Amino acid sequence: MLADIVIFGTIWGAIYTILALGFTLIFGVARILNLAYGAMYLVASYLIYTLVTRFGMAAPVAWLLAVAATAIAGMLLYRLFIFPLRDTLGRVLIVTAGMAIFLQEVAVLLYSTEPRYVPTLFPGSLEFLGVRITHQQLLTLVVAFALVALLHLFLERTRYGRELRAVAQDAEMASLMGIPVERTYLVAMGLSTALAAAAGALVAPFLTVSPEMGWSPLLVAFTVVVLGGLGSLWGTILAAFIVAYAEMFTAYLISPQLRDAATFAIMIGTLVFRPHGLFGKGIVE
Amino acid sequence: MDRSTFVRAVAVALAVPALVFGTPVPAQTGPIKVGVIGPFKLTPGRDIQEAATLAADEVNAAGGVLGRKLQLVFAETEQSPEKGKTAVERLLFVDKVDVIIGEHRSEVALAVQPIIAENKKIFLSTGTASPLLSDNVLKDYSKYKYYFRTFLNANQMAEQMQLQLTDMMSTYKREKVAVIAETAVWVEPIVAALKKSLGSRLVALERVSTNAKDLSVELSRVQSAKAQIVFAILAADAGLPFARQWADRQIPALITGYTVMAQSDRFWEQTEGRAQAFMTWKHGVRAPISPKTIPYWDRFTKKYGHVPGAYTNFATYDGVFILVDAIRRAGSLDSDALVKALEATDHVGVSGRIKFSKRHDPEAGPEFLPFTYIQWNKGEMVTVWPPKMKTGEMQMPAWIK
Repeated sequence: MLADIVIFGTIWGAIYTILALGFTLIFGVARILNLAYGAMYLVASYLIYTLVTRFGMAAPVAWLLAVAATAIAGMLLYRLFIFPLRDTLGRVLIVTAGMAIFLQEVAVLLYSTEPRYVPTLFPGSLEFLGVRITHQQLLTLVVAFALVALLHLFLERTRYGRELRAVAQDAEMASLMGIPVERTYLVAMGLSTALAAAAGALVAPFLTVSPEMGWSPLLVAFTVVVLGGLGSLWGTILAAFIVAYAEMFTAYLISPQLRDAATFAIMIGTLVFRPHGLFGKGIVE
Repeated sequence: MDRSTFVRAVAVALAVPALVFGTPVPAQTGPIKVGVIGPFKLTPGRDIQEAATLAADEVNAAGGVLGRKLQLVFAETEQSPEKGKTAVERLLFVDKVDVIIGEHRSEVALAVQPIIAENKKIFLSTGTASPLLSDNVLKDYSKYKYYFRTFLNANQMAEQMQLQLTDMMSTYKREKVAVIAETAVWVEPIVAALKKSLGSRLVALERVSTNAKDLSVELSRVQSAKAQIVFAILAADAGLPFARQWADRQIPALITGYTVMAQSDRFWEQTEGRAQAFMTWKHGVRAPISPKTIPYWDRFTKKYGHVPGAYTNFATYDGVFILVDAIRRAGSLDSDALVKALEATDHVGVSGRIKFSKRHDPEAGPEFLPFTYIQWNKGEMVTVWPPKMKTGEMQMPAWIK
């Protein structure tokens, strides 16, 4: 049992890292609390399902296409709905929540509430510490690490990355220095959505795809960012793993139905007792 | 005569024929409206819709009943008691149906049963296993006598399921059983019966929500408890991730019980072949359950391009014919007359021989509704139990010796 907790905790930790990084990107850079973030995860999963099962596309191509398409959708979402309202947090919350519900209902309309499956890229499994892990789940770990590394490189070494970090630190100053702030927000949104989409693509094959799948990731992303604090890559990764292991312990030792409750408890506990998170700047200032 | 008398005469002259011939004749020659409820976007609902349509087409092709055709009026319930009530109210008050059949989820049936009963219309459910529905017939006959069911209730299912489980345990010499059951009202009697009869041989009991996506934890616990057989009771969506994860993790236990998703012809594709050796009770198989079964199966497959899927299929097809037979014997659509006619039913349908008990549930047992199990093998559903109905041998999962 302990082996299960450790192994699946690690896999989920990797997924949560990606989810949280996407969320922290848009929140840290543009101060936008995007409640439609989970819906991007949903859109990517359904896109992959459709491309593979209805159009017969090869899975890897479908993945890449789905992530790219969702990233574009995210940028459109920002430009059309969030940009006009971004000065008021309340309005952004309502509009993005509305978008999330709308997309969920569209999914129900097009696909019904019956769960859909997304085929695995690598069939087969291996045994580790007495637990069977699928190659798909291992792939998830590898891809997650690769994405984190890529993101780190992007932020440190590229011009866009530097602009992102500058705007995150101080948007006004960055703009005075000639950095195109609006374009930076757009880039951040695209990246953020792409990460959510990637997480959806990784998870879909070993769970199933259904219309309410977007809410759990949103809760998790938010909790990890609250716990880890903003501005610290390592803080986010550590927080992601803490949340993942906490969920696993709760699920295995108490009850699987309480998994989301554990996450909520962490978020509320952090906001109450340590609002600036474990590391870095807090969401609450 | 003067003008006012003339006018009065004309008025009377016109009124008489209008009264005699113009009064709308209460649908004695119009179609018989049959309301059909269910979650049509899901497999069990789709089977209700398709089986009802085929049955109605066949009834109408043979001339209808009492000289009138059947007209089906569909109302989606989406597995929700609230939506179910709205659907039924629409059927009763707007569409003004004569009878109502269908539904898959007990929660919905329980919510709509009182409404239909108060309006004194026949409600023939073709799914919905909760015994509470027929308990109402016994507890308050005058109100609920209009309710009938062409499918076994959960207590009856529990009895039959235990027979198969015991047989499997002794044939394969496996004593340790785990139960994974969804949290839904119809499951309770079965879980209670299993707990009682298995005693200490029940090594794990996991309850999952009906739309659970991830059963990793439950499967881990089942594995830790060293279960050799997993008895699944999953009528809703959790059946799909259950099968996928069971196979991916190579859990060393045989599967039996009742997984509705495994009864669909799309299950093999949905699990990408992981359904190999997955077993489930299936009500409605291509076997000579009655002389009508195989011909119906083939007619259905020809018309719709896929085989009958969920248990609701056979139950609905037989339900329509049982209704029609009762209407014919009663000679009218009067609900009280229909109740008496239905109670006298002795019908051989595609699911077997249906007679209603005092509870208005069908009688159970091999001479009435045989309880058949299928196992997926190389993309096909093979009937493996009871032994005298089997069309193939039972297979072991590849990773179990």
